[in-house]
Amino acid sequence: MLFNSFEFICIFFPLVTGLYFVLPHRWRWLLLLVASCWFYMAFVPVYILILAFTILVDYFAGIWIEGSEGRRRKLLLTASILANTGVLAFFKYYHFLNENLGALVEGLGFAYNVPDLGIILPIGLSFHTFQSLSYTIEVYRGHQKAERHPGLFALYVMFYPQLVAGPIERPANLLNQINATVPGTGMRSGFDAQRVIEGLRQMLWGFFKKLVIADRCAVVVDQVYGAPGQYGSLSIALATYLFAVQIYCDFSGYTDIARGAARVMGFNLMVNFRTPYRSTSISEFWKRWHISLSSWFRDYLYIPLGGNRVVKWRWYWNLMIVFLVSGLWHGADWTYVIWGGLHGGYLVLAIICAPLLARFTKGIGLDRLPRLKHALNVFITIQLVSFAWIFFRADSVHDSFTLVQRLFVQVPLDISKLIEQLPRGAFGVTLIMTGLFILIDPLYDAWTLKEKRLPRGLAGELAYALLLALIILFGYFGSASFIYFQF
Amino acid sequence: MRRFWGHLMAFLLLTAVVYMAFLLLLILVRPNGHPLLPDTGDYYKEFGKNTWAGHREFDPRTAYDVVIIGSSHAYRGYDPHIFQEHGHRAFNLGSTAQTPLNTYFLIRDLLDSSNAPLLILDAYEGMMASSGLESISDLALNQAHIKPVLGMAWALRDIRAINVVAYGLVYQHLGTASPAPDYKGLGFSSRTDSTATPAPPPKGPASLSPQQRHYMAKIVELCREKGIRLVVASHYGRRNKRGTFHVPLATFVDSMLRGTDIPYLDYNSVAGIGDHDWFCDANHLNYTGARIFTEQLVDTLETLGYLPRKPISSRP
Repeated sequence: MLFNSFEFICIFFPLVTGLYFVLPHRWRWLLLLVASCWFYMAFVPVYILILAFTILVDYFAGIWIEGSEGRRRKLLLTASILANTGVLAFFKYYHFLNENLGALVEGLGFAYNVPDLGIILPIGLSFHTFQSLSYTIEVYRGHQKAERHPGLFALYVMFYPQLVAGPIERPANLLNQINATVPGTGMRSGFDAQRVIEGLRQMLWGFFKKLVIADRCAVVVDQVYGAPGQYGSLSIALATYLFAVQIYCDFSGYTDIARGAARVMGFNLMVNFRTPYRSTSISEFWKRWHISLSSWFRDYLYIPLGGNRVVKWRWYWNLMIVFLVSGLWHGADWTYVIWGGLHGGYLVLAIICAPLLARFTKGIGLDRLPRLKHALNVFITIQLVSFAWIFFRADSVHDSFTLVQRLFVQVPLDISKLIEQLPRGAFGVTLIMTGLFILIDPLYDAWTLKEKRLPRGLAGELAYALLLALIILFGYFGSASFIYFQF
Repeated sequence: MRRFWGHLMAFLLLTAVVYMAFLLLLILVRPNGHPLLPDTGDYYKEFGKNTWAGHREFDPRTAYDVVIIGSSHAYRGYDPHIFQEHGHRAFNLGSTAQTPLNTYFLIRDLLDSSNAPLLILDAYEGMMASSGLESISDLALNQAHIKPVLGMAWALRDIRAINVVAYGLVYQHLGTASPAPDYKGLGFSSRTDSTATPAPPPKGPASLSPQQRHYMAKIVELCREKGIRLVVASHYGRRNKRGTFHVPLATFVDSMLRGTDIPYLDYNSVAGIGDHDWFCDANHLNYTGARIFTEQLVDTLETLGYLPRKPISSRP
């Protein structure tokens, strides 16, 4: 079920939320579990069995890991990791591996007849696999008690607001709220009008980002990226910047809706974005973008590999490994691997060039102009991130290189061809709305993330009424899914 | 809880006010003499032209012998004047991009056995894949009855329907409309030119949306309840819209009508269609094509007993 569907907005959400507050506390977990199953089964019903498998494996793995020590404990964790990543590998990477292996074997002159199974990727598989894995790892590390209640554990893996596109929660946050160990939150929370209103407002902001900004940008982006050989530099650059806005609004919009829906019921999901395009470096970007994933990789891959407490070449290697894996996590295609590799490369280069850059900025006197330096750093970071998005968005490696080549070689600055090919109103409204969003977004984040609430009274109400009116008037309702669902 | 509901109501009221203010602003600001709102989305239709002329002329209190309904395929393909020449009072209630969803609500709220004892529904593949939003936009602006428009807007479950209905209701009082130059009266519009473009190669089979299939079946049921005799028809199709392309629609209509006494008069692929001379564009019959087709249809309806064959002396 999509958050931006009639079924969710008019039936599922009001019904589940209403029942949640009507039911006694002890039955709420069951309601949420049934609702989460309903939510998930709206996509491909039979794939609920994959989730059931993951839940069963990690439920027992958690209990057994807690009760074991030494080698057996490690063995159980390994089994859990293998079971989870095995499911992920089969459903997500089978086609990719089979295709590439086939090409390699045939390239060597041998016959290759392993069939393509035509597997449809279960929605949100990478998200709930990582969330479930974090539980067994935390139990193994002794940071989390094993959950004995199978229903509550299942709900931790399946909690509908963040089931298909995160944030990838940790047991210390979500499982403890489900268990109501945090007073006043989660399952034991009562109806708090102010909290419900704040949750609904956050959902509204998410819908605005998704429907008015992301889906409108997508119309322009799809036009250019769908015919990479037809457009010149300016059109490609414009589409790429708009894709940067689109993916941010699509994904953070989903997160806002998820966090808002959870907040209405008294659950606090983790913050996943902090105005990432205001970062002054790639390293900072990854502390502000998809925080739940980057912190997952930091805690469960980068640090176990040794992090930065190793010799320099090993540190670079660790960074590259993390970002190449992160690329593959996003999608089973070489375009994602290149995207991850670029980000890893940026970070390694930044470390290598840091002393040189420091001398250079000092030499030209930029150090004495901190605001200009800050603005320049933000500008450069946006360029680097946007360049990498070309590979992320392109339909194939060939397309991405065509786009890069035309971006730098085909320099006509005429975008009239692009405008002509778009539906009426698509271009102008997209630019106006995107401009408006770029102005509002930092303000919204300042208000919400720093716990400063919007102006109360009529001004606050008016701001959200305006948001809803803009959604109705300018929302783009032709698109269906969220980008990150495919991961 | 009471505080929450009060808050929510006040918020929705405020939103309605803000929305209307925005809408009015986008209608009243006319940089090129046209309101700005239609430039914000490709689903807004024009005020005036064919639907405006036809639907404003239609009087639900008149006892017609036959009413034709459907999309532009209908209002360009079925000439009520031919029916009149045969002594049957007829009106064409076709409108731009009308889908079965839209048709259902027009029948529900405007037609019954007294003003439309015989209803000819044009079945056209092109409208079976559309959502019906474009038609709501057209009807909200150009026809006088609000009830069917509200019904179809709700049934569509698309938030954009709010915009087109609001725009239609407001702008029909603010704008100026004129009929299309090719409007011939009785809901019929026709062009006299012939298409110069050869039919492009045949596409794959037409797609039929589940929602439109559902409403086709509902139309059959509604007509039965209202005592309206229904005839489903498809007029001539251009070369690329015959055969494989048309099969899904023909198969669906045949299966839907199985077990009923409703005929499907499918002229889509009859022999001798003048692909060049009888069409004015890729889909629509021109004046010659419409006259030839309607003559053939009237003759069939009279032969089958759906309309009485009147002696020439009694015809107008």
